[in-house]
Amino acid sequence: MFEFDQIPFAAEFAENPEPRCPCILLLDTSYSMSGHPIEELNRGLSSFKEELMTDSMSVKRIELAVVSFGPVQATSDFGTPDDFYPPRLTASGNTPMGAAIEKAVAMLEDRKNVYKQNGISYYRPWIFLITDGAPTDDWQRAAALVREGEANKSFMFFAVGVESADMNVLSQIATRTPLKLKGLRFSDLFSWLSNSLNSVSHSTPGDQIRLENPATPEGWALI
Amino acid sequence: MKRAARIVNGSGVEVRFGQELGRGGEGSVFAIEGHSDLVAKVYHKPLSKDKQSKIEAMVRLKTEQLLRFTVWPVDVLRDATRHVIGFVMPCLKGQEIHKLYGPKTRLTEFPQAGYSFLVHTAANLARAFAAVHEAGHVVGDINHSNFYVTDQATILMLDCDSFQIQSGSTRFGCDVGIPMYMPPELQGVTSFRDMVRSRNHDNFGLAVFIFMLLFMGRHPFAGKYSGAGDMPIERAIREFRFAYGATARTKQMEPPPSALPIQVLPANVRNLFERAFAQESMTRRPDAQEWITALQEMSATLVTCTRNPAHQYPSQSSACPWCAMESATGGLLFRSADPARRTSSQHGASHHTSSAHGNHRVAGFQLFQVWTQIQRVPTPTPARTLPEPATLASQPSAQVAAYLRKRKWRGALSVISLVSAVGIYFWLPGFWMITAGSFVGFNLLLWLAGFGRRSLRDTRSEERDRLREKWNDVSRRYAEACRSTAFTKKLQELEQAKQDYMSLESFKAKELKRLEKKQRSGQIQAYLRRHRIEQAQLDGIGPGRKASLALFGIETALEVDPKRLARVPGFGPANTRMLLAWRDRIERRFVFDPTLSRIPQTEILAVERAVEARTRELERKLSLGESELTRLSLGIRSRQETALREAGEAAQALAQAELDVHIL
Repeated sequence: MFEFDQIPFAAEFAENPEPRCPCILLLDTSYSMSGHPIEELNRGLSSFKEELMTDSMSVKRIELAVVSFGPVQATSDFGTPDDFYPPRLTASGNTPMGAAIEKAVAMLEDRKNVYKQNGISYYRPWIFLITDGAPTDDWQRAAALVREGEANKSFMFFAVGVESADMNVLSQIATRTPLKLKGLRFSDLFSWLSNSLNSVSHSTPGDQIRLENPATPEGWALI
Repeated sequence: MKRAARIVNGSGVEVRFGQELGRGGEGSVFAIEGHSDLVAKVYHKPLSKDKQSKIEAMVRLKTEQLLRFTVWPVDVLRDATRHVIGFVMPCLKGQEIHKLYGPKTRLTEFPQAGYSFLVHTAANLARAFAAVHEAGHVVGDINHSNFYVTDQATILMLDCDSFQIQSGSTRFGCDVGIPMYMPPELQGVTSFRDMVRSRNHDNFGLAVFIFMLLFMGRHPFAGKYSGAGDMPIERAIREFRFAYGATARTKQMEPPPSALPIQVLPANVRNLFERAFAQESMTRRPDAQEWITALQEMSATLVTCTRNPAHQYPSQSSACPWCAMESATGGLLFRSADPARRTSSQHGASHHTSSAHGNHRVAGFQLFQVWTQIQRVPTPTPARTLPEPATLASQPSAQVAAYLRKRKWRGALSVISLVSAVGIYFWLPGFWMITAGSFVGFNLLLWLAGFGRRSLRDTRSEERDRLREKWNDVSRRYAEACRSTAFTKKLQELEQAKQDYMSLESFKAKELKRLEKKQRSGQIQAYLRRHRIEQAQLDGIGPGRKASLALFGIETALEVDPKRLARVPGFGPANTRMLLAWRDRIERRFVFDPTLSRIPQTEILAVERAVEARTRELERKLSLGESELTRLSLGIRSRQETALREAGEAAQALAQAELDVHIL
């Protein structure tokens, strides 16, 4: 009477069929991040997991992936916060931001296909870029992908510049105004991100979410 | 946060708050001193006139029936200016409903909840809606955080102040809602202000939540969409694309893979879902009362799977759907009892099930029976020994026999010719030349005819050699057929599977023990790390030595070990001994506290999931054991028979050929 086809990821979705909100963190781990910045970033990542874990619905609905560059690599693949083990990032190499963005967009496409095959509904995905430099590769194609994705509402792209980041290039890549991190307030940034994702996970897929403005005097960002 | 200002209840009596129990977007909840069964909700912002009247009305409209299912406001809270700033309500019990319907959280938060528990909860949810509707109100804001479930499967609704309240001719509205749980006619509505919410709207949300409870957290409108682009839930609702509906296919929808097939549910429950989600019946969706009746009936039809006692399902299903789903996905839907308990108590359990549920057929796994059947498969043994060609009695072949007959005649003719030649010689002595000539000529002819014998012998010995080869080949094949390696190997495999199956419990216990050990070593490390060398009183190890130890990363008892100490220059054996003794003293004082660091539920679940998967795998293997062994046994037997038949023929032919050659 029961004949089911074997499908990948079936266990994960059978046990938790809640709609998913995928979020990719695109983290710059180039040499210039060495020392204090990378330490603060690592600290921020672990507190990020803790904060997401406190909300019983976010734990079921948010899926995190980390792509670090360079070199470009998927440090963690998509998983709910309980499954997310913050990687210990180390700084080295240059800043292939263009390739990293392309990789993130491709990963999102793959993940969406997995959702569709498994009959899982999903929220508009997030790509969250954090960098302290300027791309060392060709980023024109990546910028085009971001513009296209934002126009089709297939994802939201946020860019955050740290310290000496090239805000000018960031504003050419992102269609939303890039934000400048005040000092090294990564914990505040991740706290804001977790709150924003929490409010998304309590809405309905397709809803417009009003995010708290991080660029207030008390916030973590400057415009 | 404690409020300094004096706060009084509806009778003007001061209410003193205890600690803050929770904080939401709208307000905070506080304990009330002297009332452990009541809490106070205080809004962050001053309330509008309308909202104040709504709360006053709700307190007036409280009934025992409502308080059974909701945390209804029982008293108002006023500040010094007599404005309503909050209300008193009963304490909330239980957990958010999504923790129950989602298997992942159910396994940890409601570990004992089986399907029967889910059906009961669904019926109780319907009862809660019925209570609110009967009182003339509408829930309105239906969402996954507003229904709490207790471990008794009872429901408590919260955030009642957002309900649409009917007080006489006055209506207080509900201006919130989550689209994912709202009916098609409310999709796309941008503001609920001034909108009249109806029970029929509520009935849609009620059906969605009953569906999620019965379908392992699947939303009725989340399915596989075969059209182009995305199909978000609220669009699917707006377009009546119920993924499990009778007309789902025409709407390019189908249920997600490995979801519970809706056919498993009793027909009346299925019909209620159809009516709740279809366009044709959108003005008369099933009400709470109809659901109560149908779910109560469904409750009574549940049977227990004999394979896994944690699985309960409607009796009309021919097999256990949970076994099939868990097996297809590898996920865990219900927390199962120990597999070992299943094997030891199987006789009692199966008896109980069959007597409790009549002659309902369930494919349960019974190790004892399965193993008996496996043992009944006969081990293939060499049936008969092969015939030995040398010992076979044989007749010469027809060809040789004919030749032999001819040879007899030849001999006779030769003798006759000799006798007649002698006779002629005596009778007609003058013609001896002719006589001798014809005698020699005749016998020469006879001798020439003897060449036939040699060529016949040659062919027969060639034939014999070929037959010998064939015989060797056939007897080798027979020996191979008799070797039952495949059978023995399979039998050994099954023995192993049986052993493994019986030791599943100890396997699980071992795994849990390993987790505990891990936990213990984590605790002991933390304990040792708390003992800093800096603060220790150690003879001969002053601040200088301590500083050099610190330089080598040895700062707490945890880092004290001989290898590390050896690397510290100028740290002699006496000091090393003393430091190690200090560490030992500390370690001996360590007491493991199992309550301090509980093994994470996720790790326990991972073990259970693995054990469940292993159980299924072994059961499948053992169940197939009998037929596989029989197949192997029959194969061996038939190959043996074929070889034996061929060998018999070959032996006969060979014996004959040997005889022929021998004769010739």
